[in-house]
Amino acid sequence: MADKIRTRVTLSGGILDLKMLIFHPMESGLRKDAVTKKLIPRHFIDRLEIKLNEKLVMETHLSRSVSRNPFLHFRLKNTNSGDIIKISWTDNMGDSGKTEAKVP
Amino acid sequence: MNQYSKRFFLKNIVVLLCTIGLSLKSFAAKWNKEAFNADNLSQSFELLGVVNAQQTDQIELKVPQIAENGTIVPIEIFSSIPKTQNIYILVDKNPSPLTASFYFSAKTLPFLSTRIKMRESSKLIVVVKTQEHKFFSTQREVKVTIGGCGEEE
Repeated sequence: MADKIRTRVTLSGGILDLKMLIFHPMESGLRKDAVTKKLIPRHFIDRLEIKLNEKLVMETHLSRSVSRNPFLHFRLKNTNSGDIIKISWTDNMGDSGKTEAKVP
Repeated sequence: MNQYSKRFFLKNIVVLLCTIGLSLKSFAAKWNKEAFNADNLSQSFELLGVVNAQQTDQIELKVPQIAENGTIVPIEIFSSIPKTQNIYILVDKNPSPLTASFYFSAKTLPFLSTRIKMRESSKLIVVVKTQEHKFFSTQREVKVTIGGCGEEE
């Protein structure tokens, strides 16, 4: 799942706009399978961390009420061109994913 | 130093090192399972420790008045409250109201934008917790045309 994050990073006036789209079903546990009519078990990203040059700068706890393929947009202060952003997530079933981006 | 106090001392060192290790790894509390699974708003607030939340216009909340599709409701939040540490999003009529919590550091602006699910028309509440453990909130009524929980998409 490591490649299933798309990021867009833009820097303007020292403020970094960090946008990401993570491909994940975010099952609420309330939806029924169209064929079997059985409930699809809960499956959602619960934690997401953002590191700036190896330092943790943002922590996010999500739930099953976040839309499928979560989109998240954050803003970081005092960032410089060449800084490394690392994004990593884990879900309630033990899956995980990560990516990194360089500040342009 | 006798045998007992030596052991006690060593044990404390281990505990201390573990604490330091843990605090370096994460600054947020663990995923609050009880609060995320609470099925009503007052219980969610209680489990998050929200007390005396003061209504404020210092939280800028952008959310559609009418959301046609409850599976994708865009939401944007910016807090101009000094020392904003956490932002919580809650949807009153969702099966579990607490939707997400965000922990900001000195390096992040208290801003976020995301997309959430809403089962039906409901009150949407945003709570800010400051570093001094003070709570502020703002709310908005959102009309949902097609619900976003159990439906086949």
